[in-house]
Amino acid sequence: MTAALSRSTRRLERFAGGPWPFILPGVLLYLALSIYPILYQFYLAMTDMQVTSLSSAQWVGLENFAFLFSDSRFLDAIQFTLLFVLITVPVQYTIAFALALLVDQKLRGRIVFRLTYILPLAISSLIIGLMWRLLMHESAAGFINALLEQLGIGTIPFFSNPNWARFAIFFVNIWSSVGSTMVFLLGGLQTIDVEQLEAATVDGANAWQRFFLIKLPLMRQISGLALIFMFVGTFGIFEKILALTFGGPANATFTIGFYMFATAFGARGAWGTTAGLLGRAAAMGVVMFGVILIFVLLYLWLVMFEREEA
Amino acid sequence: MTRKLSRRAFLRGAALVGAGAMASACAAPQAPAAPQVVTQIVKETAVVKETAVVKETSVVEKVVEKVVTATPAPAKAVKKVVVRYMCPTWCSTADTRVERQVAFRSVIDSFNSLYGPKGWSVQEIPFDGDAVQLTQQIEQKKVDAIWFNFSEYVTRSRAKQLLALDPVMATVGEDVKKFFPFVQETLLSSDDKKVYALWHNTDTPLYYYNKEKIPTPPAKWNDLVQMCKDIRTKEGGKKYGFVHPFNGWIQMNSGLYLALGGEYLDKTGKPVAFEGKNLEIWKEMFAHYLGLLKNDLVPAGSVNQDQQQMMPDVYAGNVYSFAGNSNYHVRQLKPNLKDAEYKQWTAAPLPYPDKAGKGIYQAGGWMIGAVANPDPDVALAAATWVIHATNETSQSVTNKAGAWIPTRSAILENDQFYKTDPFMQTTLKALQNGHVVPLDPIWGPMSTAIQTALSNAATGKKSVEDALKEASDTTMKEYEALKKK
Repeated sequence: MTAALSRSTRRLERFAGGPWPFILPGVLLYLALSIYPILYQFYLAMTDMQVTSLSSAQWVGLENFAFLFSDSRFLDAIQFTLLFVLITVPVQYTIAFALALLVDQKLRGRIVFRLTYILPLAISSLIIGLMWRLLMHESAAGFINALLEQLGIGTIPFFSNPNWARFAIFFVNIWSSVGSTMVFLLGGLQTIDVEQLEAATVDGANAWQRFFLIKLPLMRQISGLALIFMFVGTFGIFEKILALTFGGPANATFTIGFYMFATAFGARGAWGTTAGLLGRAAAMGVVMFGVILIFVLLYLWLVMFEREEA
Repeated sequence: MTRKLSRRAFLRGAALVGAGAMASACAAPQAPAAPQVVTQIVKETAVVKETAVVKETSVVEKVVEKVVTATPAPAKAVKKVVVRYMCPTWCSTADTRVERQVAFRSVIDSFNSLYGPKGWSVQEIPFDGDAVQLTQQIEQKKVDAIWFNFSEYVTRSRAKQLLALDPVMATVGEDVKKFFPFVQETLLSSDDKKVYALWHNTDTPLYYYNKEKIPTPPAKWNDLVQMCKDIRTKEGGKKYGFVHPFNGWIQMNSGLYLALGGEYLDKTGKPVAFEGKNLEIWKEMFAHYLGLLKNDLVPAGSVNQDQQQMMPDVYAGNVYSFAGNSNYHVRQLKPNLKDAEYKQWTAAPLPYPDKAGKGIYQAGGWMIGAVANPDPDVALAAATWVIHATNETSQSVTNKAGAWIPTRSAILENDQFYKTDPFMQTTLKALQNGHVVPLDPIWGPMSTAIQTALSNAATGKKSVEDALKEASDTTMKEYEALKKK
């Protein structure tokens, strides 16, 4: 009895003296706020839960997934989302890197530049969408088209032409997100040891060589992380689509995120169009989660591979 | 002769006072006063007759209306019942607009005053309107009455979330026949034909036009096309006779499809909208709208615009008429146009196809229902609240505050405000031919498929035939998936 007591006391003492008391609250919060919602989404994806009746949801197994992979709208949405990511992420990264290099210089008024680029971060995505929708309005009421017309160029069908609508989405997303990526990369640039750069300069390296041979390699990890964040943010785009194009015209700007919203909460424009299919929307979320996970794992594998090589 | 109070005397006195206070605190509570003798029993029906609408000026100098009810005499001790009423913020006392605060407060106060003697009162629970949250609260039995979208009427009643109101309605003399015909039809469309909620407010699309530019509104599609052509010929450039939102097209046109003899579902609930003559009707309707676009009779941007997005063209003075919701004169025109400009605008029912004998117009809106409750007292109080909140007086006051349309034709016919407002009278005319889309779960996917088909055809992505074929396939696929449930 005494031996058992002392054993459990020792265990408790070991627990109290170890790292667990410090990390347990964090772990519990992580489990409750991150792991549980993810697992719950997997569960939801396998039910027929609807907005108007939550408790009577029934288990349908993989039925929602089977429906999605035979649904041309969903396959089109995946295709457009991937196209959107493949175009906007590299462009956004390139512009952000260029801006980060620019504001990393000892320029006069660089604070103003930094603030200007970061400003869109302070505006919500929905407001950004509405703002650009008005600016790009396809009539004399839209500032950009009115300006183009004054210049004799003619108006651009930003939202009624599928290709221009896609362009509008790409442009607005890059415009609004480039600031955050720039801040991220600027942080990375400022961690580079100045002595290394000075030594290279003394050794006769020009600005291009310093960039390609020192800065870029040293920025590889932080760039990878920035790319992952950009990928995740862009892959799940929804609010800007909602405000700018509403997925149209002719579903040309339908992303998975937007389709998920329309499935769960209904689409505007037809009274009574409350689809409310939470189970199917959750299945879309799981597919999205899977795609993002693949890219994140790929990144982690690359980082680990690099470390092993080093 | 002043005597100094000794420390001992002070302590003795203090102890006596303390003991006295303790003794009184520990004593049995005094029996409540006997209920006041009521010399005159005020019957409920008599009190309802005393309910009146009064105008008063609030502190912010806005003329608002509210319901006032004579305070009935206090009654004997009764069981307290608090009706927990969940409603979106925009239709509650928590809304930022003073007129709405006053109107909704007055309805609650009048209920509390009227039914206070029975021990009933209403506690408002405003929320952001998220349907998931509403369902959670219903399923967890945390609410007794709810405000919800009409499209959820059948699904919520089918899920047994709502209480049948018929017995209580019969007791207080309420009758669905007092509502517009389309409302009656909807309320009786539940599986067992019982009434599970009452419809509070509605809206329908109207044809808004600038009287200076269009002296006679087009009644039919051919008149509309001719008017558009005349304006393009006369003014050209950026000036258009009409704009119609292609996003939300089905909202404006679902009734016109019916007016042409179209059917959405057969008697078994199977979609038949893309079969035989129905398919031909869609083709005819698509041809009309695509013709407007192709012939440059409406702004090209309308292909991917909803109602709100087309309005800048109206404000810029580039468009002289548009199809919009029946509260657009209050919501859009009045706040965005100068007084003189606003006065140029009026409304008529939407032009309808020449082949149709009349226009039929889609109506939407919001309902109030009582949540099914095992406690008969709570159920009765909640049902009574639903009837009270949607009665003629309450509807009149709250609909005015919200700039909505009441669902009782008597209000639009008799109330001074509605009787004299030309927009409201046009709405009344349109709603007399109102209809409600099928409240079947297939309506969502079906209407979205029709909308997508139009967009595909309008952008040239698909031919009309292919676009409608795709809409049919999508709808049937969704129908099969829903059938399994």
